[in-house]
Amino acid sequence: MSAVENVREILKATLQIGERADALTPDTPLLGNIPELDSMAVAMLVTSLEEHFDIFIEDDEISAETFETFGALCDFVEEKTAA
Amino acid sequence: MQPFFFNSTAGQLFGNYFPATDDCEAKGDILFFPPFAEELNRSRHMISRQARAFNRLGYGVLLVDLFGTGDSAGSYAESSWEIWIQDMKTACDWLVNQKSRPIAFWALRSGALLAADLVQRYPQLACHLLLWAPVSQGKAFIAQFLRIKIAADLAETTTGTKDGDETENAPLGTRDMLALLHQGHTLEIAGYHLPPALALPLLEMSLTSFALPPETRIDWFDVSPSHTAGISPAARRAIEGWHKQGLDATAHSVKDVQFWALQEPEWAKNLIEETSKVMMEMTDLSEVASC
Repeated sequence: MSAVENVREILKATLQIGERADALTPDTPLLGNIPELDSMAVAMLVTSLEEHFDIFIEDDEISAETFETFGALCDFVEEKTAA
Repeated sequence: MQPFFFNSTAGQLFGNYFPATDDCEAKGDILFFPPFAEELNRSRHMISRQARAFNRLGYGVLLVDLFGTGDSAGSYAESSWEIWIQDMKTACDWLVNQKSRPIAFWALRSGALLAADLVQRYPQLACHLLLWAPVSQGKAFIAQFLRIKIAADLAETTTGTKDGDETENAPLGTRDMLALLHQGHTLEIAGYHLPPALALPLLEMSLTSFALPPETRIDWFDVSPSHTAGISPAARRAIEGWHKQGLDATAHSVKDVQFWALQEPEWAKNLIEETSKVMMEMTDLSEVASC
């Protein structure tokens, strides 16, 4: 499974957004667009991503840019896993 | 279900005893160690369903609200790790006063640290730990909790609801928040007041560093929604550590939802099945009850 599909699965499970996760495209806005993505959910999502991809996400990476769109989040994860 | 109040060191606590079902032989009692803050709210449905599953196997289950939580007295801000340890000791004493004795401690997430700490201090209390998705490192757990504040600051910045001058209200990072705790400040995170007396002991804790009596049996239930997960590295490390100490420790990999983190309640049926199976297989109960 590609990183994009893994991120999609994690979003689906963490936010419980069901089929809406399947419709996410790289341009779909996340923060401010998906009501389930509140502060608690962002924190949970970051933890899930860390555990799944075995990465460490710094405070300043929990930023508006990282969670702006689905594509931005996938790019972020891909960069972290490549590092 | 038998709800009741009882006195502990810091105030009155709420307890709820689920007796074993009448038509089976009573095998002893299981004491539940609750998780932290929002994780408890999100887990109550699963806790009571597992409690009833244990009842049908002949086990009574005692659930308690720790001081400052649920229907018990006090607030999070007034609570401390030491108070919680004494609360759970008092809950054990309550079972003993009912002419019973806890034969297993069942814990969810950070409740596992509380259970292990209690066994270390009072090794005669119970010698079987059933750990649901236990927190193995207190430090990582607190860092994850502090992140909710970082995420909340992010949401405020994004939606423009943040008041005042940005430079004056620079969001706090994990390091800043840890420093505040060390200076004796209580932090407010997602509506919970986290006092240093709770956070600082947790920061130092590691599940495998507790000295458990040699007869302790540990069942670790590793819950992951992924198909390919297997046993997580954290669980594997812990089990190896316990084996080195000569303890009987087993990891169970369960493919299921991480219900304690979900906003909408979901059932983790595989987890209940796997946990019940472990207690059903405890045929030689005298072995456990006598240690």
